[in-house]
Amino acid sequence: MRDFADLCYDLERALDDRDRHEALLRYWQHADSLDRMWSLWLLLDHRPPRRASAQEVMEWVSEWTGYPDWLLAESREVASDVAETAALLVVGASPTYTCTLHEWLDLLLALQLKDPDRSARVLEAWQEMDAQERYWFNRLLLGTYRSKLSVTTLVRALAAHTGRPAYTLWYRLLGDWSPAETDWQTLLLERRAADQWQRPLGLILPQRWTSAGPPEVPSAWRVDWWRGEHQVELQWRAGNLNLWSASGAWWNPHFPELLTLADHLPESVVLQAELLPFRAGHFLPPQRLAERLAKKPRKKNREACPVLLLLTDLLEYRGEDWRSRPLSERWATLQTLFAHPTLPDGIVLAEALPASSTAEIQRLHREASAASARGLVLRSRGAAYGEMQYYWPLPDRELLATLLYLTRDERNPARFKQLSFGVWKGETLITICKCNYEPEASEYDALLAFVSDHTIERFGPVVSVKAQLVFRLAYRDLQPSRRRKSGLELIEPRILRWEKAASTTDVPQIRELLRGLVGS
Amino acid sequence: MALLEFRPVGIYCPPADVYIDPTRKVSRAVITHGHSDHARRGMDAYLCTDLAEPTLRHRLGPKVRTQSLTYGQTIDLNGVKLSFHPAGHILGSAQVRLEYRGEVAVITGDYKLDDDGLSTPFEPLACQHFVTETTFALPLYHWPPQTEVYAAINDWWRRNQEMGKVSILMGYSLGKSQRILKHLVADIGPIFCHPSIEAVNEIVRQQGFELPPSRPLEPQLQREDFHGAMIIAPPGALRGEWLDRIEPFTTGACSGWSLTRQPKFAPKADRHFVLSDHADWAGLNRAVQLTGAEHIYVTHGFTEVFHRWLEGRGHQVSSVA
Repeated sequence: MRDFADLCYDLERALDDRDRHEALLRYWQHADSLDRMWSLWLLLDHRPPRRASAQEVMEWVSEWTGYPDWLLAESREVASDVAETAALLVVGASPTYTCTLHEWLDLLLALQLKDPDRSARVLEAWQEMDAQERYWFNRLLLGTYRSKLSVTTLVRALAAHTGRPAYTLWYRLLGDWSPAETDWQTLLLERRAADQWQRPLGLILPQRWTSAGPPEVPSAWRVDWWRGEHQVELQWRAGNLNLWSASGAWWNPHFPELLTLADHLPESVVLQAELLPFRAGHFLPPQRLAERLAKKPRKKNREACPVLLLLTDLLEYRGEDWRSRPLSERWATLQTLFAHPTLPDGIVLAEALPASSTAEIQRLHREASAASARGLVLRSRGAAYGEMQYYWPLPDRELLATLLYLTRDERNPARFKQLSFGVWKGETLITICKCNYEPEASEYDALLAFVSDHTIERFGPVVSVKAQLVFRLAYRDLQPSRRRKSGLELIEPRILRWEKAASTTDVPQIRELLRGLVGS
Repeated sequence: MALLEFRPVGIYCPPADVYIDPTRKVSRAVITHGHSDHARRGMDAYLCTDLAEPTLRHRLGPKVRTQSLTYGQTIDLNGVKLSFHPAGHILGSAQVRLEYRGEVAVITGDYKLDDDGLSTPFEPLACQHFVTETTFALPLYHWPPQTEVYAAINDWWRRNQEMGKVSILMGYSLGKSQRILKHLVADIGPIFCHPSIEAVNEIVRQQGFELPPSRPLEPQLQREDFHGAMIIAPPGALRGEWLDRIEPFTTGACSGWSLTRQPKFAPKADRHFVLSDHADWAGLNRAVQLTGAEHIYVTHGFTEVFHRWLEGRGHQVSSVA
C-alpha cells in the first residue's frame, strides 16, 4: 500500500505522460501480482463503496488522539479534507510498510457498515501506515478516491510492462472483470484464440495535399468531404464487433449504440468509417464528439451527442485482406454490400462528390465550409489502401486583433507564454482568443518594454495592457460558443506576426467576423 | 514581570535596556539568529552568538557594530545576566536567557528539537518565563524522520537524472539550503547553488563546518554544465533566461509547510519534501514541558491555538505580538 500511495502521489504530481509512464512502470516492477491487479482496477477509476462517513472518521480520530473538538476543527481548517486531516493527526503510529494494497482492499471490502468493530479495525489499520499511506487509504474508506489517469496512458505503460500488444490490453482491461475473480496471468498474459480476430489492421490517415490547385486528371480521383478527426476501424469478425480509433484506442465502451449494428453487417468485414456528431439531420460542431469521448460513457453523455457512422472504405472481407486492391474495386464491393435499402439509423455509406472537372473540384473546395467540412479528401481510384490519399484543407483565415492580456508561464513566471487578443464589439474590445507565443528574442524584448510601460492591471499570472499593439492571427475556422463572452470560438488560432504598422482602428468588429466578412 | 516588556518594536528587557530581535531601529539589539525577520538593519549595536556573527555581518554589511558570545557565556547588563543557548534552528541560532534578581526568562527565537547535523542541538533551559514561537502549533504538524527525507531527496535527484532532468530544490538561502546541501550525496552529480546561498556556504565552510562541494550559479555556465545537476535556490530566484538554459528541469520544495497538500511555501513546486527548521506540535509541547515554566508567552504562528491548548493544560499563558 505504501508503494501504491507513492504511485498515487507521483501520478498526481506528474507534469506529463512520460512522468506517469515511468511512475506506473516503477510501481508494477516491485508490486506483487495481486497488488498489480488491484492497482489496475483502481487506476481504471473503480473504487470500493464508501465504508465510513466524514463525521465517523473524525470521531475515530478524536478517539485516537484524545484532542478536544475545537483543536480537531482548527486542524481540519488547515488540511484540505477529512482524509488528510485524519492522515496527519493519527501520529505516534508505527508504520510497518508490510501491508499490501490487496490486504487493505480486502479489509475495506469486508468492512460492514453495521459492524460494531469497524472503528477498531480502522484504528488498527491506521497504526500500521505512515501519513501518505493513511491519506490514500482514507480516500478509499471515505469513497473519495478518484483516478484521473487516461486509459491510453495506462494501456501504453501496461504494454511496456507486459510486452503484450496494446490492442489486446485495451479490450481486456475495459472488459468485464474484477480483481477478486481473475488474476494477472489470465487477464493480461494468457493468449486467447480471439486475440487474432480482435487485432486491428490500423488506419492510415491521408496526407496533406501540397499543390495549390486541384488534381490535373479529375477522373482518376474520388472526392469526398473532409470533415473530422474521428476516423475509426470497425471490425466484424467471427461474431466480434470491435471499434478502434485511428490511434489504436478501443472505443467499444464509448459507443455501445454502435455495437447493435452487428445485425446489419455482412459476414466478416473490416471497414474504415468516420464518426460524426449528428442529430436530426444536422452535423454538430466537431468538438462535441471530443467532449463526449473525454467524459464517461454514460447514457446522458451519449444522448447529448449522437453519432453518425459514415463508411468510407473496405479493408477486409470474408477473412481476406483487401487493402492491396485498388480503391475502385474496394468501393464497388462496399457499395454492393451496403446496397440494402434499409440500413439502420446512424450508419451511412459515404457518397462520392460529383467532381468530373478541375473547375468542379475547385468549386467544391471553396464550398466545403458551407457543407460543414474542413476541405476535401482526394483518393486515387487506382491506388491500394493508404496510398495516394490526401486531404486538401480550406486555407486558414486571417484576422487582425489587438493584444489585451499576457499570461505568464507557471513554471517560469518571468516569461509570457500566452497572449490574449480582442476585436471590437461596438466601442469596446472583447477577447476572442488566446494563443501560445514563442517569439524571437528581439521581438520579445520589444514586447516586454511595451508591457512595462503599458500595464493596466495584474491579477495572478495575468497582466492586462493598454490596447495598442496589433497582431495578425490565423485560424482554421470559427464556431458559435456559449461558454465564451464573445459568443464565438476560433478554432486553432495562432499568431502569424506582430503588425507594427497597424493600429487598433484596423481591428474588425465582431459582427464582421460573424458574418464571415473578414478572414477569407 | 519586571524582566520583559512586549513592545511593538520587539521584546524589551528594561533593566538591561536591550531589545530582542527588534523590528525597528533601537540602540542595542540582541539577535537570536540571522533570518531577516529577526535580524534587521539599522540598529546601533548587535549582540549575537559567535557562530551567527559572520553571517549576520555578511547580511547586514561590514560596517555594523557587533559583539558576540559563545553558547553559555554570560554577560552582565546592569545586573541582568544574559546568555545564549543553542536553539537548533540554524547554525548559530540561540535562545536568549535573561536572569535578574532570581527571575529567569527564556526567549526561544525560532527553534527545533531535532539535531540537523549542522546547527548546535537545542538545549532545554529551566525558567519561569518562556517565550516560544508557534509557527507549526497544530497537531497536524508532525515531522517525518529526517533520514527518510534526505533519502527521498537523493532518490528524487537520481531519478530526475535518469530522466534527463535537472533538479531544482527550493529553500531559504540561510539555514535550510546549507542543511539540504549537507545531506546531498555529492557522488550523484554536480551541485550548484544560487549566489546568495553559495556566499553563506563559503562562510559556513570558513567557520570549519564541512559541506559537500558546490559551485555558484554563474552567467557563463551553459546548458551542458547542468547535465544531471542539482541546483539549490531560494523560491522565485531562478526565472526567465536561467530556466530556459536549465530546461528540462523539475522543482522540489523543502519546508514544514510541505506536509499538507496545499502548501504555503512554493505551492507550485513539482515535489514537496517535509523538512522544517521549526519544532513540530510534539516538539513545542516537549519544549514547554522541559522548561518547567510557570508562564508561557506564545508568539508568531498559530498563537491562538497554542494559547488555548496550553491554558487547557493548566499553564498561565499570554499571547504576545
